[in-house]
Amino acid sequence: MSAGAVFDDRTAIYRQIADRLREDILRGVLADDEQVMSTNQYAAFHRINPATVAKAFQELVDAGLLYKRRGVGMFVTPGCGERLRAERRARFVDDVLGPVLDEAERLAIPPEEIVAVIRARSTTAKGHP
Amino acid sequence: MTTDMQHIAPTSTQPASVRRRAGESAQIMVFGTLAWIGYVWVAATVIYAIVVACVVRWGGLDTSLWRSLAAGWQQWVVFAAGITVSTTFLRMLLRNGATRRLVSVSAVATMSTIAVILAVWNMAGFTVEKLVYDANGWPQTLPSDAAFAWDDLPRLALDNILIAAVYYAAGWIIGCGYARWGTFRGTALLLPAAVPVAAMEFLVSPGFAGLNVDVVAAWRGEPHVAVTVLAGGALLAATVAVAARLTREATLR
Amino acid sequence: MSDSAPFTPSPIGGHTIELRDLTVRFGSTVAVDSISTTMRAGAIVGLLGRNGAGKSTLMRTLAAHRRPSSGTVRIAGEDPYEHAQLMADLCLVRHDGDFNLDVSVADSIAIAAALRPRWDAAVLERLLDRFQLRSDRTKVGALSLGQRAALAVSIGIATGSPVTMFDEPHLGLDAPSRYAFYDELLATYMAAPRTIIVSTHLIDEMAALFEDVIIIDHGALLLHEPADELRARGIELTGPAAAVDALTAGMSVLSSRTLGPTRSAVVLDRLDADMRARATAAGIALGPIPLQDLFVALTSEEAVR
Repeated sequence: MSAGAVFDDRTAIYRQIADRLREDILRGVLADDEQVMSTNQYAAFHRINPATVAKAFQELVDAGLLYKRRGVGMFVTPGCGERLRAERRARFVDDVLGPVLDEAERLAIPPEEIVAVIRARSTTAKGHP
Repeated sequence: MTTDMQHIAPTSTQPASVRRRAGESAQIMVFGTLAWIGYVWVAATVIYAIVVACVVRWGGLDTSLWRSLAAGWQQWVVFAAGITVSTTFLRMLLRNGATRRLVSVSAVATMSTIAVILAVWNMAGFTVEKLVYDANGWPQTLPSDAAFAWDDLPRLALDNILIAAVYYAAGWIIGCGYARWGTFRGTALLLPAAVPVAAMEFLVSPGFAGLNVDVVAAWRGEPHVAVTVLAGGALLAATVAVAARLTREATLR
Repeated sequence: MSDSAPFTPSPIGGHTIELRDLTVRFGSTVAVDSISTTMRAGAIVGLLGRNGAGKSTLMRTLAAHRRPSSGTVRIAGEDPYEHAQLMADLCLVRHDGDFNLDVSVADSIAIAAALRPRWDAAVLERLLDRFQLRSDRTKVGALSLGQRAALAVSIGIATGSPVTMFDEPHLGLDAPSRYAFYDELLATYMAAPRTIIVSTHLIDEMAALFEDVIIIDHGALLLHEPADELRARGIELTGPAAAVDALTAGMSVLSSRTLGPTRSAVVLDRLDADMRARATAAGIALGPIPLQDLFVALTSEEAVR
């Protein structure tokens, strides 16, 4: 077990923190104008160097996902969840679907079969919410 | 040598916090030393009291038992206290952010305090003994073959202070050797440390303080008090300067 | 300090430490070999190295417990050796506590409190509670090694020293005590930032606490960089031996293992997009490596430099 147990030791931790906060905003865990944990709270909770946490938060401030209120703390910029979703959607075909289709082509899986899998999955998902 | 004396002499240019720490570290060493050396003095007093009580009950005496039983070996206790400057207090003080200079300042404070208390204790011993011996009509003979007289008290105090201080400083020097080169090789400093001790033995009167291995005592007689004060003071200052110089280069492992 | 206020490192928290060609010799042995680097004020620095790499000697020298054989140490711009004010600001906590064993716990604490200008009695109280220690007449020598180590780190933290160093603090502390130590170190650091140096080889456990990492080997400085940058460095290339050799030619290969026709090499270099494409084309798999493995690769005897 590591002091920052939930972080892997192969990627810059500030990047992992930023990614995690992005994920929380994207999934609506952090709502618009909601205050996020302070860097100190975050650092103490996860046993991480506060400078590392501050760097992650600063990255999100620079990206316009968080805004600062002097002396109070940091908050989620309204509408940024939607913005993140739009960005992810735009990258979905290139980043996620592209490699899958390339692999399917190498394995000679016909497109109809893939479409059938997708249909079946979304039906299952709807059947068992 | 001048620079070494400056090294351990307090100066008014230091910030108050540094001067305050000098006081704190001196207290730590003085009380840390008195904490055990006090027991030695109490034990010596008790043993002496028991022996004298027995002698008063069953016999008579013609020499000072205080000199031989209680006072005569105190220089070795003080010598051991000097060794602890480097072997005990150096680590304790440096670890807590004090400089070696503060260690030396504290050692001088401890040396002075112990020497004065020892002298007072010794004078009290000789005084009580004289009252007891006089009441019984016994001569209180000293190793110098003279009997103790009330006029001897100032000289007794002076000699005691100088002897105690020089043994402490000698122990301090040897302790530096132990701390630096280990118990075996560190003992090599026994030689340079013995020089001021031997010299001081010749500067005090044969009788009250010191070892009394002084074979030329009868021939040289008692040195003039001015000689003892000036030469003894200079000798002590030089010994302390050497010890402080060694302390300045002390290392924690 | 408000709990939710954003963290801003205080500009006056801690001292900068500059080393220039710092060398410490013991006879013919070189314990610290010509180290030059600068540690930022107010950073938590991890000092990593194998046993005997010179970590303890380096820390002793920074604490002015010994003189360098050559080269210089500058802390807040000044030579700490016999510097009355600066030495009071330097605290080195050794895992055994460096204590005088025949002194009581209460007196050991009182001595530190008397000599440390920034002593925080409230912090000490909290730490003693946390470690279930009592400030009483018990001799330090009568404490268990674990209790002694806990007392040592408690006093070290409570000194509030602008430069506080912990030499292998994990050695005496069991796991719950170590986490308590990390928590309290962070809490006091966030309340009042200072320069903290921790030597350890429990890298996995402590890495997230470090802002910067220094790795020394055989007394010499191998690297000193932000922990997060180091974490992102180090790539393992696994694939056909010839292809791996071709791609890594000219790179600093830290270690390499061969199993049949497959070779796995660890390099410290960053791979640009072009190199990554070439690697993929040659059937070489690229993978990040954990900090601990990177450390092992950097300091193992077989490391190719």
